[in-house]
Amino acid sequence: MKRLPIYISLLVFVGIAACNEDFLDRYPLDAISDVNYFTTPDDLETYMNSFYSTTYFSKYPNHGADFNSDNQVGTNVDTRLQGTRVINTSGSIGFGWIRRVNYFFDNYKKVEENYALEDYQQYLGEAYFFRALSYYTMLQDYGDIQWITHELKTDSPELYNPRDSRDLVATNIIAALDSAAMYLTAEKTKGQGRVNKWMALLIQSRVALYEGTWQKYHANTPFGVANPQPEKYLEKAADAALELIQSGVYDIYSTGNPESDYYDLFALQDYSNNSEIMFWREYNNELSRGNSNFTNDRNHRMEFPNDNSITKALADAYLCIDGRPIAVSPLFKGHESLMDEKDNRDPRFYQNIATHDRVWRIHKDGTREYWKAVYDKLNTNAAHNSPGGYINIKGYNPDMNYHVQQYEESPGIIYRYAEALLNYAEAKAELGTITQEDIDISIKKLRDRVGMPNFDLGNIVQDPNWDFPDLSPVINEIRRERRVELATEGFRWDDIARWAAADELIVGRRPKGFNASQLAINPFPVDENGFLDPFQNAMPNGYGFDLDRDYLNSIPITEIVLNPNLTQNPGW
Amino acid sequence: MKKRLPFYCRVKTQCGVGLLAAAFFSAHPIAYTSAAKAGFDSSFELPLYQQMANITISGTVQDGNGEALPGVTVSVKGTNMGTATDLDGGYRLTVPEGAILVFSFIGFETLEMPIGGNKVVDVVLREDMASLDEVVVVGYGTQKKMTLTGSVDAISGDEIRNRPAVNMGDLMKGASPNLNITMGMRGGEPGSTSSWNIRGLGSINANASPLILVDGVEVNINNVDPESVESVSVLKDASASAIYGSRAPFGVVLITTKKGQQGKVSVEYNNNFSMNSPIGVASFVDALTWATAYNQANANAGLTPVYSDEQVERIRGFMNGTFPYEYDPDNPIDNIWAGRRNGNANYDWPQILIGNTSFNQKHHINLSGGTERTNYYLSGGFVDQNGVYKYGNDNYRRFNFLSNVNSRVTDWLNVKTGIKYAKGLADYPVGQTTVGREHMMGEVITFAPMMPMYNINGTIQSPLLRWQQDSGRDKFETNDFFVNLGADVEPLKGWVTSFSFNHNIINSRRMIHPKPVMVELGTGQFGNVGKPESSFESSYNQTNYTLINMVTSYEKTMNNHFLNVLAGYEQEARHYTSMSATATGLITDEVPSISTALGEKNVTDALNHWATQGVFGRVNYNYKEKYLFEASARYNGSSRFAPDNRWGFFPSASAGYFISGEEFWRSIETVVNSFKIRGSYGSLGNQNVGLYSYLATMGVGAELNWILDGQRPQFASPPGLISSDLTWETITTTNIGFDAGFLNERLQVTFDWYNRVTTDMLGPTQQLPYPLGVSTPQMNNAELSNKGFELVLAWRDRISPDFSYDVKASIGDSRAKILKYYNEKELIDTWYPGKMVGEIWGYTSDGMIQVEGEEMPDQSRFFATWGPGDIKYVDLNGDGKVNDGSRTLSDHGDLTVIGNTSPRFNYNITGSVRWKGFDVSMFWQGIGKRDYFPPNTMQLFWGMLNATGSSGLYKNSFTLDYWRPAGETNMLGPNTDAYFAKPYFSAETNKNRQVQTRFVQNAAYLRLKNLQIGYTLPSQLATKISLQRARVYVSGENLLTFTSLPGTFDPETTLASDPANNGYQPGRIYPLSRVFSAGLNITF
Repeated sequence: MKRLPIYISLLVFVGIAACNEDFLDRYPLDAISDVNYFTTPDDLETYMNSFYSTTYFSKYPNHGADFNSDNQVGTNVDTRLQGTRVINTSGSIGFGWIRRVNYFFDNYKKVEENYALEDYQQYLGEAYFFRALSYYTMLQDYGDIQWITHELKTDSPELYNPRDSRDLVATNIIAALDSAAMYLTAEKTKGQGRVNKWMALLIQSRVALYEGTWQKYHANTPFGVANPQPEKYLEKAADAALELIQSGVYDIYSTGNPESDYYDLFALQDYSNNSEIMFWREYNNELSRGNSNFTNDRNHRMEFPNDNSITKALADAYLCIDGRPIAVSPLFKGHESLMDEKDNRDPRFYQNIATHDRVWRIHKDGTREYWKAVYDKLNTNAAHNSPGGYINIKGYNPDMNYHVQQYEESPGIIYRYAEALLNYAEAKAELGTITQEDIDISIKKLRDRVGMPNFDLGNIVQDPNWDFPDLSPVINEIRRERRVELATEGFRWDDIARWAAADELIVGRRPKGFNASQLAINPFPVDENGFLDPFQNAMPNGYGFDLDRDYLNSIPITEIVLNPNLTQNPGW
Repeated sequence: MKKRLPFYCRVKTQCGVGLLAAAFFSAHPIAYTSAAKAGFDSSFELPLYQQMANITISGTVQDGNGEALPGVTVSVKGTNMGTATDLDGGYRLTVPEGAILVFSFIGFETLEMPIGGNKVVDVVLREDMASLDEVVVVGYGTQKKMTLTGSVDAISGDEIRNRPAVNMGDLMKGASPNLNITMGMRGGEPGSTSSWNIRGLGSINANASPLILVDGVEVNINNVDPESVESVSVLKDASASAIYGSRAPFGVVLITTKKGQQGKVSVEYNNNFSMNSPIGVASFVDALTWATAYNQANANAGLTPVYSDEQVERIRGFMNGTFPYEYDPDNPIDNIWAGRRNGNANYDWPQILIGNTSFNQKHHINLSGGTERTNYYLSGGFVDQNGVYKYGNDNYRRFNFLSNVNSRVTDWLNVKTGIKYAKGLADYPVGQTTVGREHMMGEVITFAPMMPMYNINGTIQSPLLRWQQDSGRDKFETNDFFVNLGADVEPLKGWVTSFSFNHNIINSRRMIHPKPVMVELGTGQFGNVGKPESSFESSYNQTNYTLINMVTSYEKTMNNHFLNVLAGYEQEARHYTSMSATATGLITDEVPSISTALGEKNVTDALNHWATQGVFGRVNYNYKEKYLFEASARYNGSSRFAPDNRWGFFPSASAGYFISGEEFWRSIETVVNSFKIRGSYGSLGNQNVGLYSYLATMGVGAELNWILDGQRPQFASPPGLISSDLTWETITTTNIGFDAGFLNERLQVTFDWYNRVTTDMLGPTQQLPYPLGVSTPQMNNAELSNKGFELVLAWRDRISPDFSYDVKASIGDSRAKILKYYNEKELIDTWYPGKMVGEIWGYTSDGMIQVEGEEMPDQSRFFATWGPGDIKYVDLNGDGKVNDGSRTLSDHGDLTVIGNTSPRFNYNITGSVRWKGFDVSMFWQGIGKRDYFPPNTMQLFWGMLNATGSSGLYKNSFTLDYWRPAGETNMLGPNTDAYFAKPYFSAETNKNRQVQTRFVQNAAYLRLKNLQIGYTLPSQLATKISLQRARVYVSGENLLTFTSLPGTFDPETTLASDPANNGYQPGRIYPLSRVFSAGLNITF
C-alpha cells in the first residue's frame, strides 16, 4: 500500500511504452483517394459533371452580348475597340480546365477493366468536347498556345514549351470534336442535359469557320499563319454543318407567323421540345434555392434600356422587305423616326429592336403597355437612358408573370441550329463553291421564317454601303445575313476578329444611334447629321483599335519571364 | 504536509540508494524521524506538531490600511508547521519555543517574526513592491518569476476585469507588447472573434497563431469567461514554449482559471451594464453634392450625366422643401434597386441604418473557498451583447459555468477536477440573403442618399432597411463542454507525478432561415430582395477533443543548488463531424424545419480528424538563484505528415545571470535593486498545415451549379499537386533580455530582443509557367526571419497608505523579412529573398498636371491620354517613360518601395491611481508606425471609383477634394490644389490610382481603450451591511482615438476590412462601439 504511489508514478512510463503505434495514422474520412477513382462509369459521369458550368456556357445576357462590337453601345467604351487595353503584367493564363480534362484522359482507362466502351463513351465524348471548347477560347484570346494533352507535373518539360502554332491548335480542336462526335450520343435530348453529337458538330463548324476565315483574312499580317490553309478548315466547317443539317434532327423554329416567330423563339419559357434550340440552360428556383449562380432576371432588366442600346450600324444592316438594302430600296422611309425606319423592313428589325407600337408589358390583369411609353420618356432618368436610342428586345418576354427580379426562371439559350446554317453558307461562300441549293438549305430557312424573299445568288442587289466593298457581293450579303440573324447574341466580335474587319468596321469610327430629333430629352452628343453620337466626347477621333495589336490579348509579362521560350503576341 | 514525513524516512532507510532522489533526503532535519511512528493518519489536525510543541500563539494579520488579511500563510521557520489566517485575519498555532513565525501572502512582503516570549503576535504586512517572488505559470508548472530565463509576460486577471468587453480577445488587446490581437472580417459584431498572434508574422502561409491553453488544454478562447481568469502568461520565446514542441511554434498563451483558497469562503458578484454606440460609421454628403460630383465624374469620362437635370431639380426641391416626394410620383420607382439612381431623397444611410445605441450587460457570480483538504471555486457568468443595426436586432449571449475542485485525498494524492461549460447564442438577421449579412455593410455605404426610404403611401421602400427587418434569422448556438480530471501523486517530497485527462466536446448548431424580402415599390408592386422562396438550413457539428498527459517532475533544493527535472508524455486527438441539410418549400415560415419542408432537400457532411503525440522533458537548475539554467526538448509526431516525416525533435536551452545577487552589486543596490540578464535559444516545429496535405484526394462537390436533366448532381474535381515529403516548418528563436528593478523595485524594466527564424517554411516548389494549370505544390524550402523587441517599463509607488499609483508602458516591435523563397525571376509581386514583409511597391507621385501640354514623362503605360487634373509620376529611371518594367527586382521600371503595411511599434500605456476608496485607471493602446495604401476598390477613401455603383461620397473625408478646373462653375467650385486627381466613372480613373507615394496613408493610431473610475466602500461600512467588499465603478471603452487617417476610417476596423488583412471587402465592416458602462463588485 505504501509503495502504491511509486507504482502509480512509474506507470507513466509504462503507459508511454504502450502507446498505440497507429495513433497518428489519420486518413481522410470524407474524401476519396485518386487511386480509387475512375473505376466505374458513374465516376466518369460525376467527374464530367463539373464541366457543365458558366466557364463554357455563359449566361444568356440581359440586353444582348454584342457590346464589344459595332452592334451595340452601352455606357462605357469598350477598351479593346478603343485600343486602350494595357499589357497584362502579373496575370496568368488559366489552364485549370485544360488540366482538369487532361486528368480525365490520363485516368479514365481504369474503367476499361470492367466496363465496355458503350457504358462510358458518352463521358469520353464529353471530355473531347470540353477539351475542344477550352482550347477554342485560348485560340481566340491568344492565337498560338501550347497544346497539352496530359496532366503536367512540376518537372514536366512541356511547361517550357514554346507556343504551338494556332494552325496546330485548331487542327487538334477539330480532331477532338471528331472524336467527340463519334462517342457522344446522337439522341436529340431535351437540350438541357448532357451534350450530344450534334452540338459537337455545331462547334466543329464554328471552330473550323473561325480558323478558316482567320487564316484567310489575316494572311500576311502579324496574325497570319505560315502556310495558311483556309480551304482545309472551310471544307471541314461546311462538312460538319452539312452533316448536322442533313441529319434532320433539328429545324428552324417556325409556327407560320413571320411577324413574331423569330421574336418568340428567344422569349419562350421552355425549350424541351423546341426544334431549333440545341442546348439551353434551365433555371429552377426550387433546385437553386437562391444560389447566386442561378440569378437570372433578364425580362425584368430588359423592361428599360438601362443605358443599353443597339447601334445605327446594326439597324441599318436590315434589308427592306423587298430584299434590297435601305440605300437602294424604294421602300425605305428614311431615318426621321424609328417608326419610319421600321416600316417595310426585314421583320427581324422590329423583332430585335423595340418599336413604339410593340407591346412593352402585359400586366397580370391583362392590361398592356407599349414601348412608346418608354421611348417617350427616354433619358428622363437612368433606367430610361439609351445612348443609341434603339432598344434591344431579343430575349424579352412582355408577360409580367415572367418578370421576377433576381429569380426569373426564363431559360437561357446556349446553342441554336440557325448558326449551323449560317456557318454552312459562309463556309461555302468563302470556298467559292456556294450554289443556290446551298442557300436554299440554309439561308432560305431563316428568311422563310420571317417572310423575307429568298437570297437569290443570281441577282444580288448592289449596296453602295457594303461594309466590305473589296469582297464579293455574296460574301457581303452572307455576312449581313449572319449579322442580322445572330444580332446581339455574342457572335459579332468573333466575326470581326476572324474577318480581320476592324479596319473596315472599327478604327476611327464611333457608334451612332438613331435620329436625335425624335427625343424630347437628350443628354447625349449628336453628330452633324443629327444622329446620336454618345462617345463624341469620350473619343473624338473614334475607336483607336490598334490593327497590329488588338486582335489578340497580351501574354502576361510575368509568364514570359518564367518561360523564356514564350513569345509575346504582335504589337504588345 | 507533515504526513509525508514518516514515509520518506522509510524510503531512506528501506529503499536505500536505489532511487536517485534519495541522495537529497539526508538534507532533511533529522528531527522528523521521530514522527515516523505517527504513520498514516487520515486526520489533518496537526497531531504531530502538538506532540513537539509547547506554546500556542495567536494573533491577527492586517494590511497597511488596517484591514484584516485572510488566507495569510503562517508557518514556523525551518519546519513544515503552519496554518492560514481566517476571515478576520486571525490565526492560532502551536509552536516550539523560540520559534520564528513566517507570514507570507502573495502581493505582500514576507515577514519573519521571532515569538520571543509573546503568546499574541499581531503583525502588519507591507504590500510587496517587488514582484520577484511572484510565481508565474509556465508550461506544465509554475516558476518563480525571479528565476525565469525565457521571455514570459504575466498578466493578472485583475487587469482585464470590470470592462464591458465580453471576450478575452478584446480584453487582452494591448495587454502585453507584441501580443497582437486583430479583429476578423466581422469587425465589432456581437459575438465576433479575434485572431491572436505573438511577435508578428511567423510563416507566410501556415497559420501563426499562438497556442492558447486554459488550464493546460487548448480551448476555444471565445468561450472563456474573462471574469474567472486568475492569470494569463504569455510565453514568447522558444525556451518558454519549447516544451509544447510542434503545438506551439509561435508562442503560448496560458490562461489559468481561479481556484479556491483555503480558509477563505467568499461569494463574489460582479456586474456591468453598458450602452454601446458605433464609432467610425461613415456619413454621406447631401444628395445635391453627391449628384453634382457624380455627374462631373461621368462628364470627365465623356459620358452623359448620371443624374439628369430634371432629377437634380427634384433633389434640390426635396432638400429645400419645395418638392415633397422622395421620388417622381409620375415615374414611381418600379424596381427594387432603382431607388438609389432615380430617387431624389436625401438620407444619410450609414448613420440611419447603423446608428443604434444598444444596451449590454454582464453578470458574474462565484463561490470559492476551501478547507485544508479541499478547495473549490464555482462560478457562473452571463453576457448579453446587442448590435448596432437600427432596424433589426443582432444579439450575442453567452453563459459560462466553471467548477474547479481540488481535493487532497491522502497526503500523497491530490485529485483535481475542472468542469467548464459555455453556451453561446448568436442571433443575426440573414441580411442580403443570397450572399450574407456582411454585404449589407457594403451596400449601406454605397446606396446613394437619393434612395427613398418611404413610398408616397408611407410604406417602406428601402431594400437596405428591409434586409435588416425581415430577411429571416441566422441563429447560432454553441455548447462547449469541457472536463479536466487529474491527479497529482507525490510519493516522495519533490517528486510529483501528474496525470490528466481532458475532454472537450463542442457542439454547434446553426439554423438559417432566409426568406423572400418583399419591398413595396413606388408603383405599389412588390419586389423581392431576399430569397426566391423561404428555405431552411440546419447544420450541426461536433468536435471531440481529447488530451491525455502524464508529467513527472522532481524538485530539490540543496546547499543553494536548485534542481527541477521534468519529463512527460502527451497525446491529443481531435475528431470533427458536421452535417448540414437545406430544404425549400416550407409549409409555413412559422415552423421552419427540414421536416416541414416539401421542396428539394440537400444534405452534406464533413468529417476530419488529427492527432499528435509527444514526449518532452525539461531541466531547471540554479545556484543561489543567481546562475540560472534551463533546457527543454520535445519529440513530437503529428498525423498531418506522411509517416516518414511525422516526427520531429525540438530542443531549447536558456540561461540567466542574476547579477544583482553578487557581492559587488551591493554598491549600487540602492538604485538598481535587481538586475538579471538572460538569453535563450531553441527551435520548435509548426504543424499548422492542412490536415491531409500529403495525400492526393478527389474533391467531391454536393450540388453542381448547373441543372443537368432536371437535377443538380454531384461533381468531382481533380486533386491538386501534392508533395508527400512535406514536413514541419522549424521556428528557431534567439532571445536576449534583461529584467531590472530600480528605486526599491518601484521601477521595473523588462527588455527582450529576439530573432525568430522560420526555416523549412512552406513555399512553392517553384513558380511554374501557366500550362501547369494548377498551383504548384508546397515544399519546405522557404525561410523567414522576424526580428523585434519588447520593452516594458512599470512604475508603482505608494505615497501613503491612502494613496498609491502605478504606470506601465510597453512597446513591442517586429519586422519580418524573407530570407529564402523560390522566385528565380525575382518577381516583385510575390515573395523574394530580401523582401520585407508588408512592402508596398509603387510609383512616386509628382503632383498634378495643371496645364494642357505640360511637360511630363510618357505615361502611356496606364492610359493613352493625359490632361489637367491627372497625376504626374516621376520617371525615376530616367528613360522618359513611366512604367513597371518587367516587375522584377532587376527591372522594376519606376517602381520603388514606398511604404510598409506591417504594423510597427505596438504600444500600450496603463495607469492607475488609488486614493482612499477611489481608484482611477486607464488603458491606452496604439500602433506607432504603419503605412496603408487603400485599394482602388475602397470607396471610403477614394470616393468615386471607376463606376457609379460601388462609389460613395462621405463627410470627413477627402472624397470631395478632387481636382476641378479653375473655371469650374458647379456648386463645388474650382479646386486645382486638390488631393485627388480628376475622377472618371470609367476604367480611365485607374491611371491616376496607381499605387503611389501621394496616397500612402499613415495608419498609426493611439486609442484610449478603457477609462475606469471606481469607489470601494470602506471595510467598516461594508461590514455593516454584511459585505466583505463593495465597489462601484463607471467605465468607458474606446473613448478617444488619435490618428491621421481620414475621418471615415477607424484605424482598427477599416484596416481589418481589407482583404489583405483577412477582411471581406475594403471599408466594409461592422463598426466598433464606444461604450459607457457602470458596474458593481460585491464580495459577501
